[in-house]
Amino acid sequence: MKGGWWIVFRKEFKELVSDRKMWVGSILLPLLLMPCLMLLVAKLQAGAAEDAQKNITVALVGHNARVEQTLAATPNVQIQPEQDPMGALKNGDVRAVVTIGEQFDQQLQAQKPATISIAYDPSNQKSDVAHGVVQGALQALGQEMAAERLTKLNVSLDAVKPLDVKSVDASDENQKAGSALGFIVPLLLVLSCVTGAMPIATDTMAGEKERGTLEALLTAPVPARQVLTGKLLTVSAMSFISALVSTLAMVGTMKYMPNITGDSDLKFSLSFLSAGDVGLILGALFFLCIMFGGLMLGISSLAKTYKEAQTYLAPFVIVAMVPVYATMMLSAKEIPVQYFWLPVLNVTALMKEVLYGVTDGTHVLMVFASSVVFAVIAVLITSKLFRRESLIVKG
Amino acid sequence: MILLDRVTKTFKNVPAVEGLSFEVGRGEVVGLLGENGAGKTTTLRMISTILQPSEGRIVVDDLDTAQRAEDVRRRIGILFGGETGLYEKLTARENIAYFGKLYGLDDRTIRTRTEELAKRFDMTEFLDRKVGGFSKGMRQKVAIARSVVHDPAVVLLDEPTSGLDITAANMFRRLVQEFQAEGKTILFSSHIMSEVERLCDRAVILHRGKLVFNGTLESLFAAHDSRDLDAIFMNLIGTGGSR
Repeated sequence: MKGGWWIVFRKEFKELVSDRKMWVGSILLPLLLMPCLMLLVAKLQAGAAEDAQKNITVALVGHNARVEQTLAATPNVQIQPEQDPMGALKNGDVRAVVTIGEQFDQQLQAQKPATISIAYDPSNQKSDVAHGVVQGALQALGQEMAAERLTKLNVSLDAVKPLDVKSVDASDENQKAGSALGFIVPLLLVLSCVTGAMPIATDTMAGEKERGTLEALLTAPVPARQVLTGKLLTVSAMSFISALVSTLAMVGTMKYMPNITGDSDLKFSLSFLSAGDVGLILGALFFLCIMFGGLMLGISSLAKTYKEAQTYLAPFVIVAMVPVYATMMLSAKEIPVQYFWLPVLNVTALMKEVLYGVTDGTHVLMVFASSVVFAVIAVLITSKLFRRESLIVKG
Repeated sequence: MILLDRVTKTFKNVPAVEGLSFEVGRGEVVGLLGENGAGKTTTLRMISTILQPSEGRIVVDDLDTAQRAEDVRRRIGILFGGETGLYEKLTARENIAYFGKLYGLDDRTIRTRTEELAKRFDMTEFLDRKVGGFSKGMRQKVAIARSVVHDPAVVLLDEPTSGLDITAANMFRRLVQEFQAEGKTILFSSHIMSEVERLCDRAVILHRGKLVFNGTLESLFAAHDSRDLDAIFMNLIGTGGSR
């Protein structure tokens, strides 16, 4: 029968639209929960970073007026008297302990390196930050003292500084933003594809089997492949819509995102992406959604009940996340070429390239060719499972 | 109208139906009797083309089910008893219309036919309500309407009165009589002997996937010198029976 798949697809979608749970789970939650979570995490991180820079309490052991003055003059540093400085550090009462060596003054007078140590707790972020601040202040004091010694010797400071090393940031703002977003965007999009498809795949196959509607449907004069096509399109479409909704939510959230990178110029925005870039990402996601939809429907068809299907499909999230994590820490320019052939990895690798602005035409072809092949394989497997009467008919 | 010729169906080498042969003539009402697991549902599923026979052949309205499955389905309306197979989030009307479309009916025909069936099965009142909140009887009415929306020549009913209250079961029995009057061929499975006695021209009795009786109820009564169908049935399946 012509158009049987379309009738099935339309009915499935109509059912979805009238399903409150679907709206909440696939549309509202990603729209509200994701921005809230992102904002909350970013706010907490930004708050922690800000707090770490303020109120740096330091215990001082030993005496040296210049060291004490330097520390006291360092912004946000407060010298706190402690009976047991190391105990206070362990308890988090102070963030660092500066110990001036017993021979400090004598060593200075003898023009020798005077010993001064900074004790801190690297497992405590605030203590780690305090270490950096105190170290910076003491290094500056050291340079000041060195300059004084050189002046006494009639030697210019430049004479002992043969190299003037300067670091130049060669990346543009978009690449910086793209690189930072390259961590989170592929993860979020792949996760949305999976979570968007999963409840529909569970319900439309195992759920229908359990309720007996699948059997009734298969008595209609519509070839099984058309029924499957209608269902596959529904699951894939929901997967894709979920990814789109997540993207929109993410883009909206970024406007209000506090900066946690320390780079005050960095703007988290996807506005630098061209229409072609967006098209590439969506195109790659489209085939990924079909592959996920196909596989999930196939797995769901193996289950006799809705709950059983949920159990079978639960590990899907972890399986899909592994390839995302594999590319997460890689720079867009360092992705091994074979990754562009592998399922899920190929799409995340392409997304990283697009976000970083170094899209390679060959890689695009590889990703699209392999994605089509994986989608076809997934659909063929599911089609074979769907034709197994003992799996489809309950009982 | 329906012909089963030495039909066998095995699941993982276990026979569910073995060497089954019988016929149902045009306009006949035939009861398919047997205990749970006798092979009644498997037989109906094979006739409706959901399952393919492992051996033998099935012909419906001169069409081989293995070769012309889609055409066979167009001529059949099937109702499963235990679970009505309705979409709970859709209204009764949407459920009927969905199957009407799948059977290739146009929108106008679907509308007319839905109204007609709604009046006939007394479901106008809840036609536009979602099936989710329906009672078993209401669901069964919608399921019957959905099964016959395309006005099939053959109606297969799998334990249709299972779980129904007396009113709904009586309504269903009247309906079978109406279908018979319209000349539809009806094959229905049941284990309610009184129902079979009241509605059927003939009975086909299965026991452990094999045919143990195929004939008119009168011939069955005469052969056992009794009109107690329950006792005859127990006797047949207890002894393995004779044709």
